[in-house]
Amino acid sequence: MKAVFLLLVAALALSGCGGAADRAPAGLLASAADSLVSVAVVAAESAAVPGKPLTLAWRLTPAAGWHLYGPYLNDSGLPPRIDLEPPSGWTAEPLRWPVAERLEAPGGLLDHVYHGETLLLQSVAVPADAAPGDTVVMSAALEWLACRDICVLGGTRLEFRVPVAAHARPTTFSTPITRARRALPRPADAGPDDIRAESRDGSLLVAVSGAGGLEFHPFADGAEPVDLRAAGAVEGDSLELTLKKSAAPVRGVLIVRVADGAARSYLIELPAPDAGEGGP
Amino acid sequence: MRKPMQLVFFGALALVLASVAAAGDAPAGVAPGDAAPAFTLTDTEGGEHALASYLADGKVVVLEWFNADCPFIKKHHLNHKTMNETYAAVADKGVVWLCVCSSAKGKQGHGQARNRYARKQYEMDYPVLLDEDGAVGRAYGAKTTPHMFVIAPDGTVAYAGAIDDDNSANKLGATNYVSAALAAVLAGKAPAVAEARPYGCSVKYAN
Repeated sequence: MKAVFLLLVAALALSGCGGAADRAPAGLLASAADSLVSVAVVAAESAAVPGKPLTLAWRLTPAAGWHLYGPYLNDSGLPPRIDLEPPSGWTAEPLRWPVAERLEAPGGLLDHVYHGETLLLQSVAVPADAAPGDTVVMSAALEWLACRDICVLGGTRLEFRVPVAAHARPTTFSTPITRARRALPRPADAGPDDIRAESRDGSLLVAVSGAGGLEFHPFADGAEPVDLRAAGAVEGDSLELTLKKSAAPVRGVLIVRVADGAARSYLIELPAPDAGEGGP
Repeated sequence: MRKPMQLVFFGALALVLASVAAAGDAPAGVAPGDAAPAFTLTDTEGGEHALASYLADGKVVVLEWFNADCPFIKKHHLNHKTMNETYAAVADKGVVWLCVCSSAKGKQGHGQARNRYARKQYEMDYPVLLDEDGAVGRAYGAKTTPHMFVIAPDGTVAYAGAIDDDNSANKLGATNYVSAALAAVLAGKAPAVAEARPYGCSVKYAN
């Protein structure tokens, strides 16, 4: 008990004495936590270099047993919202979301979710006329819905400083960010798998030679399959999804499971279904 | 005489069992144009509500799937008064608004006490019906709280889906689909938007 108490005192002293920034690992720009989700923004590089992209990652870690939602066609929930306000002249690129897991719930529900530490990558274009030696201030509003058997809304505002320099060094977060980038879905023709995907007669047809299993995770703003829960994940090398009639293109992530248990993911982008069941 | 009756009885029982088995965990669900599944449920105060008797009286019935502790229910009942205001605008026009709670025992938002308190907390002038076994929720294919259904007096589903067009946890949408659907149905027309993807927490059905 005594040891725990002393540790607590030490932790409080550390966080309260203003030395936290000095002791923070290089690349950790800001962090916050509530009882269910801890969030941090980290950088792959030690500084913003004029004319080059700065790679940020939003690290969201829900408590064990809790999940966050991916930007896919879900029956419930809400993906985290991150609104970054870069300095004037700097441009924040869209978030890049990692592959999610299918989660079936009672009542025939299907969601695509994240458990555990999740890195959302975001590039910021640094203007060529940014001045080395300066420090810029950025802030971001974050909002998330964490669910287990109940759902709890959380949110925070993070403010952080980024130095501008002519050269940057990799930070301690450079490796996990690189790993996260490599795990992002790649274009359908950019991987080792032979993927045939087409949107025809109101259906999405996918065939991948040699695949042990396939999953399709449609993005929320794309065409909607009629029965994603039953037909969106299959054993074997081919998958067929009937699509609702829609003016939206077929967009989503294809996950290909291969023999040794490994999985690779690809971005699928196809024209809107020309015919289909039901109305939008 | 006895044997044929028995056969009819077992035949009917087999049909019921078969339909339950076929339904499995995937809810049948309803779409606009479908006949609204009949139900009779009891509210937090012990009152009984039968869809058929409301329809027989020529009412338009709105169903709102409800879980008092879901952040999206709080959005529309606490942070904003969307549901109360939408109902108030049509309360004297032959519209019946029924919240349905399909939370199973032990799950978020479950039970008489919580929902009785919610009615006070959210100043609700309409009942919360308890659907603890989720049978009515599954029959309608209710996925989220809230998930809205507008039923025309002829018993068909006129609208199914979201309350509005902003699925964030705080911001109201520009279009309230239920208000628009009610205006159309009350004018004897079909809603321009009869279906919109519902958003919110998952309905907390029994495992």
